[in-house]
Amino acid sequence: MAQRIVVDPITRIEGHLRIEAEVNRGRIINAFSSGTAFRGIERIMQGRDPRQAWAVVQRICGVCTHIHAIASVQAVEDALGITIPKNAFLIRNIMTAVQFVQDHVVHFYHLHALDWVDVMSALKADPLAASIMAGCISSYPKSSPGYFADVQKTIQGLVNSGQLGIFANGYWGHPAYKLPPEMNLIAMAHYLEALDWQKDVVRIHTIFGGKNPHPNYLVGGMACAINMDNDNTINMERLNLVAREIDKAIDFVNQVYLPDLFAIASFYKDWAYGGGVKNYLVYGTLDNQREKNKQQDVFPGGVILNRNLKEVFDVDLRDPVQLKEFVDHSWYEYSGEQGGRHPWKGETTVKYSGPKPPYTQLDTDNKYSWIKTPLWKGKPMEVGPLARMLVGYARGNEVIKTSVDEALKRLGLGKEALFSALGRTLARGLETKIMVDYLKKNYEELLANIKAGDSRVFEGAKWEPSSWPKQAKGVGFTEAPRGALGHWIKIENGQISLYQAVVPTTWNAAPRGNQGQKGPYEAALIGTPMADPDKPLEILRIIHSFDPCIACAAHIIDLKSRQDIGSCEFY
Amino acid sequence: MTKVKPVILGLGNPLFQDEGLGIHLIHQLIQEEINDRADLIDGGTDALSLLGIVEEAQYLLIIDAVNAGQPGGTILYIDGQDIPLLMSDKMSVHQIGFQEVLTLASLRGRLPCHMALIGVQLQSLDWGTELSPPVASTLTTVKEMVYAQIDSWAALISADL
Repeated sequence: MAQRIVVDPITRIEGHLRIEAEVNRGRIINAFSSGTAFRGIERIMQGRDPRQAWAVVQRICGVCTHIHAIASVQAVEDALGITIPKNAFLIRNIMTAVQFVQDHVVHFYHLHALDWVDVMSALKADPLAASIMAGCISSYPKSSPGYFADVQKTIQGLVNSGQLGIFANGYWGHPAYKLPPEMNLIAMAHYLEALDWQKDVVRIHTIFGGKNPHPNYLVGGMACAINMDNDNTINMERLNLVAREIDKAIDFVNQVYLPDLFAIASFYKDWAYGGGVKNYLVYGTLDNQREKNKQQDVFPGGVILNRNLKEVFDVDLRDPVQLKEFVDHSWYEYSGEQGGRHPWKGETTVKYSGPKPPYTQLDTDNKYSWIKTPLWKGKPMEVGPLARMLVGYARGNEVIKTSVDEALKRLGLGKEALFSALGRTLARGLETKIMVDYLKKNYEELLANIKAGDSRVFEGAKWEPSSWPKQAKGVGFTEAPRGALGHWIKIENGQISLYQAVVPTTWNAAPRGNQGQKGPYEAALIGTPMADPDKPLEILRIIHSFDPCIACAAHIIDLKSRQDIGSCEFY
Repeated sequence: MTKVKPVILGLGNPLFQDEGLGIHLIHQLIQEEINDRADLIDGGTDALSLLGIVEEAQYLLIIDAVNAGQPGGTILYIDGQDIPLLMSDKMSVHQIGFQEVLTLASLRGRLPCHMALIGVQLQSLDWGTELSPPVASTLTTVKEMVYAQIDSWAALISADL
């Protein structure tokens, strides 16, 4: 008899990810992914000024504000036929690359690491041995025995205080943890270092966007003026600050993140679980605005089916047949014609038929999620860093190919190892390195362009609605840190008449498709052994490897559940 | 480096009605004279990105929607040391809440010396950019509390100098 385990970390408010997995003889035999957040952005957008859309939709996600704003302004620019100036294009790319690098590092250390790193074990480490080990894996200067002893003291202090906080709910001592105490200590030291670093790198957003969080964007370009002789605009002093932060980011990725990633991965090489749907989708990003299936792009667009790296299919997001969203297992209904809908014909009409909360089990035979099921030509698709590395590899992109081949060689693994949770986590690290180099390249191009006398950042010819056609439609698509992101818009008489966003986590966390096709999370969990179903570390490892973007947008302080800490809780 | 000018940090998401209280309030205050006396920050919901702001502040006033099991629109004032620090199991980086950021700042010994929270009991979390009527009706009072807090800190600051 299969046992059903439910991982629903926060059932107290709406808007989270819930995983129901059936375990038989210590192995997951079936799994269901349910997003419990209703995404009602489409309703809010109707009737608004398209030029202001970015300011609203950037809040779809509290963390990925930048990339949602970019997708939105691109959708409007696409609809109205606006080509932005080169400087604006480079600045947007710089900001996007910053978001990738910052986001991936934060994901690795502050979320995912603790699935592989045992905090309590770090307390048993010998600081001297940790120092020697750190010296072997990297030239990062902070590696003295005294440094590691101090980190150990900080963690011990936290444990002693009883306010374990961040580390309170880990499955410490779980048999699936494999790192020696010294490696755990090194990772914890860098957990703390990464906090400082991530604070600094986002200053680049402040410089180009005026403020952070929530920088300013502009349909037609960027809102930051460039004038080398003006204290209040982008000038040489500010550009120098950007250059310094970029160099720090390069150092951190090369000296801390990647060495840790490889060192940790080397202890988990036999943990080959978490593969998933075998199909990978990339919209493509950055290098050009409209043609995105090109080999030389930093992330070439395309689709791979059934892990076949010998064939790549082109993606066309305007094609009403390629991409469709289904609601067979989602709490919505479509009017008129049934089946899948292309986002330009998208509808978001709620029809909740699930159990009344609190409930123990969802009705997974029928509708069980607030997330729709997007399919590409009828197939579920994984999106994100692994998809980008695989599609880039299959397209023959030299940078990606070299990066993947070298990483596999270094770890002594074959390509099949990529199709796993570990492969996903490795891919995220590899693309961070690609992005931090790309960041530098874009900065140098920007500098050269400005020095050549071009200070334009805004194309205003189509700013006034009187210059717009009566009806227009567009799509803005890019790659977000978590995967392919698209915003579809229709404009009528100067106002938004339709707005649909298909976000990366819609692809990855999707429920079953119209023919019972499992979504990427669901497929990835099946077959995974579980040491202890009461401590589902293996499930967290796999789901975290996708970097879910769920529960992102709500933030409440709960003073009601006065639990053991005796006071209140923030979400 | 800490800065003496008080920081007022509005938190939340204006897409979910009352969840946006802190943000609506910050954008109103930006239009007022208090903008000269304090740094007003629209913190949104990306808590981790606020670590720098928290750690650099010496005087920090947080404005957020709260759930305290009270009738919608109830206003709560919580003094710094009574804001507990807690972290829980996470499925997503997005769940790194503001309270965790306070924990991290505390772990690093960099919590602001003076800190307070003004919270308003939320009533509706539906999609929508408008506050519910009971919460919207608190804005004037909350603003008065903000001014009072900044005035009392201003007295402390000038005594220090």
